[in-house]
Amino acid sequence: MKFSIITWDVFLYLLKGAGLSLLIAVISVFFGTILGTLGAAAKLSKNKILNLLANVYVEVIRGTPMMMQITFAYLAMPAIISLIFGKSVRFNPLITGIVAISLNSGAYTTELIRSGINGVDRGQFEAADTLGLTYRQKMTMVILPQAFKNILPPLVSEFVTLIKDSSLLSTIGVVELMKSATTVGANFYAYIPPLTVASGIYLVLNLIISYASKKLEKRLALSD
Amino acid sequence: MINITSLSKTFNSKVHAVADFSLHINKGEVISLIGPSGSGKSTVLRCIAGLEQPDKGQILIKGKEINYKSPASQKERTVMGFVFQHFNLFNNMTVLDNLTLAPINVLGKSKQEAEELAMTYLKRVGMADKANEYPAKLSGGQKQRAAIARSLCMQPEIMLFDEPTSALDPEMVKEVLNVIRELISEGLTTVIVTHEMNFAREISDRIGFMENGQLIECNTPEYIFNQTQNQRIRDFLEKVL
Repeated sequence: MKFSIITWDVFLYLLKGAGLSLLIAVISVFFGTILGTLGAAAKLSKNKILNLLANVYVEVIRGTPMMMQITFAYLAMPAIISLIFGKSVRFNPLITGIVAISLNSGAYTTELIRSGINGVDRGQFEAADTLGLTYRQKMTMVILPQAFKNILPPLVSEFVTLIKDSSLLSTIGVVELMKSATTVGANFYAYIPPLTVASGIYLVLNLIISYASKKLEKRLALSD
Repeated sequence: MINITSLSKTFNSKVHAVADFSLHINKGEVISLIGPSGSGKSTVLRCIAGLEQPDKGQILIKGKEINYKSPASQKERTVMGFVFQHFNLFNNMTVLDNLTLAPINVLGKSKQEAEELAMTYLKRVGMADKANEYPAKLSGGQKQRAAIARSLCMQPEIMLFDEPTSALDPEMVKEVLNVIRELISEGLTTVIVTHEMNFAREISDRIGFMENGQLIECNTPEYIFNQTQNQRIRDFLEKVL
């Protein structure tokens, strides 16, 4: 084993990849949360069409592999566009990847947020009703702050999942941590050192996030 | 004040929770609804408060039917205060914030005005020292007294109590009943669903006995407890007293 190939420069190269992985996960969890909030609102609404749209979205995303979604977005979407508009286009892999992962995360987050809201006791809704609060006031002042406590832990694990799943973008040429590691491996004809170090970086990142989330949960639990 | 005509409500289109229930409640009157569990008492109360939609019949509050589908109903319904069996204080805020939330956001009171009002009512229910506690830190009796104060902050003309002491430890029942007793002495129109027979007898102008969703009899406590000829009511009272 030639761990000596992990020089400072190589390590920095891997760290740069890790930075991109983290960036992909942060942006995706951000848009995923927005999509998830909209999705949950659509699922909980009384409008049948919105219910249907949200259900189709969630089921299609959860019922197909993420790898397929990413590949579809990168290879099939440009082909579809050129069929329709007769112009050939090429997608930026990073942006396409982030869009695909955000859409994927949005479907899972829809379910997280929906069950977080449903987890708030019915009595809280009813008390807000009898006091004359409007739907919006009830949701923003009473229900969502309580739902947030239910949603936070699974949302953090969704974030951790996204950091790991961002490695799938290596298949469409995004040089994130996974791709950086295999590139280093290929250059030196030695895969064990870069893959081991890269795995270590993933692990450390996720351990730090889990730890921070536990701290935050404890602070939020103060009113319990 | 409250005019209920031929109210019917079924759940899952099978069980008749309330069947053809009619009752006229005058201003300042105190009505207790008693009867076995599952007889529809709470459903009647929840229909009055708009927490359930009746299948049939009409409920007039101060001569008007409240249309709960319109946004305007949110303000109209605050003429009624509702006290739940399980208190339902908002867990994410302090007692004081629980009391000022609706006065500020629904009635448009200033923060200072709402807080002064809240402290007045908290003093009356003996909870002034708990204003800055979260609900989770309170005992059941304290939660219920705070919940009553929260309803009062909306300055309702009608108070609806849904088994206000059923979820309490026995030693806390009295403190809550005392608060309710004091309120009633001030002339608020009140409907209480309760299993506290002696309390109902003491405070009520009329007591309604319900069974299988129907109002069997509604009369003075004296009549219900001593004179009724209805065998079912006699059996029920014999068992619970």
